[in-house]
This record gives sequence, structure tokens and C-alpha cells, in this order.
Amino acid sequence: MPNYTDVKAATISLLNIYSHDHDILNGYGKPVDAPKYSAVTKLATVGINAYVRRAMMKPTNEAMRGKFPDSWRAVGASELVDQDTIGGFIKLMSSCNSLAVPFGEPT
Amino acid sequence: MTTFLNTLALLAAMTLSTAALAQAAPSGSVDDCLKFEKPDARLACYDNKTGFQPKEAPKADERPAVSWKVRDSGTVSPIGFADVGTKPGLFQIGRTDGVDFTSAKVALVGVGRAINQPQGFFDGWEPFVGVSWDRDTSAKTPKDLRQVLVGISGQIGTPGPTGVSAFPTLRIGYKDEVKAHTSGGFVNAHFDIIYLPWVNSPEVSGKNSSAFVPYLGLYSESAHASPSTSQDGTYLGAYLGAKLEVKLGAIVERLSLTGQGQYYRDSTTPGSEEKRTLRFGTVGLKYDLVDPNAKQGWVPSLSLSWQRGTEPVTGEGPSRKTVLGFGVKFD
Repeated sequence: MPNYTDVKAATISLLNIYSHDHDILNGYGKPVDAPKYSAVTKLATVGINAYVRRAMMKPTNEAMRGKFPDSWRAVGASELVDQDTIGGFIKLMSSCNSLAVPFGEPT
Repeated sequence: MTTFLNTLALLAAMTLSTAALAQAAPSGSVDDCLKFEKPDARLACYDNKTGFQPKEAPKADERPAVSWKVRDSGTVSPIGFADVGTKPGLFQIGRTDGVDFTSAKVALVGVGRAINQPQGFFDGWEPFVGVSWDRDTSAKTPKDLRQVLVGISGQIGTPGPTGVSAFPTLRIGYKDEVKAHTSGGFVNAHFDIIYLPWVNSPEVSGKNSSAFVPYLGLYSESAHASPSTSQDGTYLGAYLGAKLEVKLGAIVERLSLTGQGQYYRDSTTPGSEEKRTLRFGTVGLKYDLVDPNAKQGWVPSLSLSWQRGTEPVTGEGPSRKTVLGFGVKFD
């Protein structure tokens, strides 16, 4: 069973690949008092709109299954389309790994 | 002697219990957690200090087996924004050829959980079922179309951030046109083509963004008319089209302009029926009354659209009309 921190990190890395001129990887949660990107950041504002999320179905399944082969269960395009924030995406990735999201997360 | 041994045992047990408690109990106060600047570390500290135990991990199959959506049709695909079946259900009023009319166009679509097939072609594909009702009394030939269908939708290719991918949607169903007294089965293979640089402009407040999605497909239906049988038989054709969506955030938030053009040509028709060439076009403005990304619940919208031609796949037309509509979408 993967841990939440690993799944969260893998999700942010994946989103960073498809974000449009946005460095989510280095800007997530930083600076602490006014993070550039956080769980409430709308994905469409960084170029990951519904079309892009739909196109991420295969890449997401391949990337997550590569990292968490024992726990990952496939995600569908409509589920990705329905998540419009980074936090929603993290929760979905956790769910697909049969993983509980710790209280207060994602931040 | 026995009493002494019992007392000794009790003291030993108490000592062990106290040691165990001391080990389990977190030291320091929760205020100590404030020294952690990273949210993850701070939260972990709070959990440790308060002895919080996360809930047992849910099972993956706790995701709903079927997600229900209300749309304008279950016609092409229930997912994504680039296909017909993602527009809201519509209740319209309009005026055509000098006559006022009302119409309803609504479908209930159930999307099943994604197929889990590691390394398989269908990994992540989603099956769906749908029922739809399309009533329009504005056309010269009034329409009352009911459909039931099953299908599956997925993706071919693994695009990078500047890549291209095809999204096939395969459907089979049955439709009954009550007013025209025609009915029959249909099969449709539809492919959206998403080239990421054409769709990934950021949607930032105060700025416009756009998405352009071409598509193509094959459509076949077996029509049975009553009482006339002259047009009975199997039609098979191919189509090509494109959709454009421009979000006009620079003008008004939640206002969008959409356009679609499509060309269809029969390759097979029954008997002596002539092969049809059908063109279809629509341009519309839509204003979402609430944030369309508020996924839980109903999203009402107002629309104004101009429509020309015939669209055999969705059953639109033949029409030439301008309509003001009230739409509602549910997730």
C-alpha cells in the first residue's frame, strides 16, 4: 500500500508535465504563507482544462500504475474531467490507490 | 509469601503499563507543531500529538459503480467537453418561420466505472448507457425522438503535453421517431481528435481561451417506416466535422461562443434511394448562470443558437432556426 505523501507527490509531478508554462512542481505549497499553487488551484488556470484532462487518461493510468503497480486501479476520462482543482485530482488519485486522504489534506 | 508475590507482580505490571503509556503518549504540546512550516509536516505533528488515527483506507470499488449525468443527448459520448453528449439538457423557446415553438432535448446517461485492465488496450475505457428524448415541434416535420443506447468510450495513444490522441466512442442503440412513425437500430463509431496545443490555453479570469476539436466517424441505421416502406433498409455513411469553443472571459465571465460544422455522406442506401449529402452547422452563445466547474449538482445556463442543416447522427434537423434556450446540466 503506497503512502499518501508519495501519491500526492506523484500527482503533482504528473500535473506538472501537462501544465502550460507553469512550474507546479516547484511552486506547490510555496511560499508557505501565500503558495503559488495549492489544492484549491483551478486546473484550467494552468492549462489543464477539461480537454487536457480527458487526454490525460492513458498517461495517468500508465504513470500511476508504473509507480504503484500493486494498488492502482484504472481511472476513466470522465472522472478526470470531473476534477477541476489540484486537490480534487489528488483525492481521485488517492481513491484509485485505495488510499484514505488524511484529515485536512490535500493542502 | 503469596501476598508478597502478588504485590510484587502487581507492582511489576503497573511499572510496565506506565512505561507503555509513556511510550505511546506523545511528548510536548500541540503548540510545538507550529514550528513546522511545511503543511505536511505540521499536520503529521498534530496527528502524532493528538493520537489521531486516519480512517481505514477505502476500497477502490467505493467509487460509484455508475455515475449519472443529465445532458442534451446520449448521442456521441457522455464524457469530455468536445462531444455532443456533454451539452446541457435543453428546454427551448423560439420562433421559426413566424411561428413560436417550444422543445425539450434531454438525456439521462449512466457512466460505468473504468475498466481496469493493466497493460491492456481497454484500460481506463468507460462503458455507458443512456436514454434520451428529443421533442421539437418547430420543424416542418415535427419531431418526437426517443432513444436507448449502450456504448463504450476510451482513448487511443498516450499523448505528451504537445501530443495528439484519438478518442473513440462506440455506440449501439434503438430509436423510435413517434411522429414520423419510423424506428430502428443504429451503430455509430465516433472519433474525437485532440491535439493538445489546440485545446490547452489557460482559462484565466479576464482573458479569452479557445479549444478546437475535429472529429470523424461512421454511422449506420436500419430504418423501418410505417405504413410506408419505400425507405426501409440500412443506411451507412461517414462524417467529418469540427467544433470550436471560445470562452469569452475578456468580455463576461462564464460566457462562451461555440460553433460546429459537419459534412455527412451516405455510402450505402436501401433500394433505389439516392445517396444523401447532409451538411450541418451551428453557432451559439451560452452563459452559465453558475460556475460550470461547480460539479456537484445542477448547472443552469442560457443559450442563444443559430442552426442550419441536418445532422443524422444526433437526429438534428432538417432545420433552419434561431433558438433561445434554458439548459440544465447535472453531475
